[in-house]
Amino acid sequence: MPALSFIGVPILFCAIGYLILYLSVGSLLGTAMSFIDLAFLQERPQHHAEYQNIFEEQAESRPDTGKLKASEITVPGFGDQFGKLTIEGTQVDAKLFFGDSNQEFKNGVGVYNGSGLPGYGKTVLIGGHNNTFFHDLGSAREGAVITVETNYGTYRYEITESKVLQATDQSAYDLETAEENIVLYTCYPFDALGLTQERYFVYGSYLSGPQIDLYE
Amino acid sequence: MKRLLCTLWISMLVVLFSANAFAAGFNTHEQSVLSALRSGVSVNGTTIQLPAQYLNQAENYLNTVDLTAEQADEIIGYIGHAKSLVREEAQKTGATSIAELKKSGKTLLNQIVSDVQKAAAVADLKVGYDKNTLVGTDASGKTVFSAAKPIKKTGGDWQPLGLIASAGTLVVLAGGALWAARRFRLYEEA
Repeated sequence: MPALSFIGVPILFCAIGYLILYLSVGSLLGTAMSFIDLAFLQERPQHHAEYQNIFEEQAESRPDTGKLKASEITVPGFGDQFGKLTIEGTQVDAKLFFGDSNQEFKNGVGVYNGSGLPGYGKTVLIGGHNNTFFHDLGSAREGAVITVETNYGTYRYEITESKVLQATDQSAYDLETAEENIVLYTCYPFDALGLTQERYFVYGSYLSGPQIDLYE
Repeated sequence: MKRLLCTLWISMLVVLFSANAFAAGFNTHEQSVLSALRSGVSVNGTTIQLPAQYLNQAENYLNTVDLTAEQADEIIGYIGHAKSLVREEAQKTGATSIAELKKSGKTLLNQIVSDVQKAAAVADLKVGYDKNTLVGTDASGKTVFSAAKPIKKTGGDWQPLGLIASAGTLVVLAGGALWAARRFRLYEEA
C-alpha cells in the first residue's frame, strides 16, 4: 500500500512529533512569547494576583505565646494566603492558605476549611501535592518541629507519628477534638502520578503559639 | 442524608450571608446559633449530630461576620425546621445515624435545596452543586462551605505525561506496523 507508507505514515509521524514537541516545550514557547509581547506592549499591563495575601513574611514581631482575642486578628478568607509552613530537617517550605482547592494546592499547602486554624485549639488539617510543596514530607522525622507562621502568630508542633493510610480512612484525623494538633498529608507513594488511594500522614502535637479566644 | 445535613448547614448560611459587618469572634447571637447546631437531633434513643467538619465550617464562617439578634433568630428557626424534618424521617425509618438516614429518598432533600436556593437568592448568595458537591459561596464568589471530603487528591498531575507516553506508544506502534508491512511484504511495491 504505497498510499499508506508514502502519505499516511509520514502524516501520522508528523502529527505525533508536533504533539510531543508541544507537550514538552509548549510552556517554554509561552514564556518566550510573553517576552516578545512585553517588548511590543501597546498598553500598560494589568497585574492581578491569583489570591489575596494577608501574611507579611518580614513582619518585625509575631507573637508565639499567650492568648489573643479573636477581635484582634485578621481571619483569612477561603483562598487567602495567611502564613508559611516549614518542617525541620526537610525541604518543606510552603505558603500556607486557608482552603484546600486545586487553586491553593497550586501555590502552596492548604488548611481544610472544615478543620481549625492554628490557635483555635482544634485539629489543623493541611494538605499539599506530593510532587510540589509536600514532595519531601517523607523526610519528616519524629521529634522534628513543624513551624507554622501566620499573620497573627507563630506556632510550633512536634512530630509524633507518620503513617500511610487510605484516603477514605476517617480514623486518620479527629476533627472533633478540643486539643490543638496538626495533621499534614499528601498522596502516597510520593512518586505516584495520578490517582492513588493512599495518603501519607504526619501528625504533630502542639508546642507553642498564641491561643485564640473566639468568644472575645 | 449527608446532603440533607449539608443543606441544613447551607440554609443557615443563607441568612448568615446577609450579616453586615466583619468582626472576628462570636457574639452572643452567633453563640446561640452554634449551640443550636451542636445540640443535634434527639430521636430513637440517640442524638444524631452534625459532622464535626460542618460545625467547624460554621465556626470559621461565623468568626468573620456579626449577626444581629433578628438574623440569629431567623437562622435558628431554619435550623429548628430542618431538625424537625430529620426527626420526622428518623422516626419513620427508625434511623439512629446519618448513615442510616442516607437511605432516605431525594424528594425531601430536593425540597430543602430549593428553599435554600430561594433564600440564598434574596441575600445575593449562591448555593448549588459543583461537580456533585454541595458548595456555598458569598457574593464575591468565595467559598464559605463545601461538603467535599476532608482528604483531597494531592497527587501529581498525570495528564501531560500520560499524553506524552500515549504519543510515544503510537510512534512505536506505527513504526512497528510499517516495519512489519515491509518485512513481510504485506503489500506490493510499485
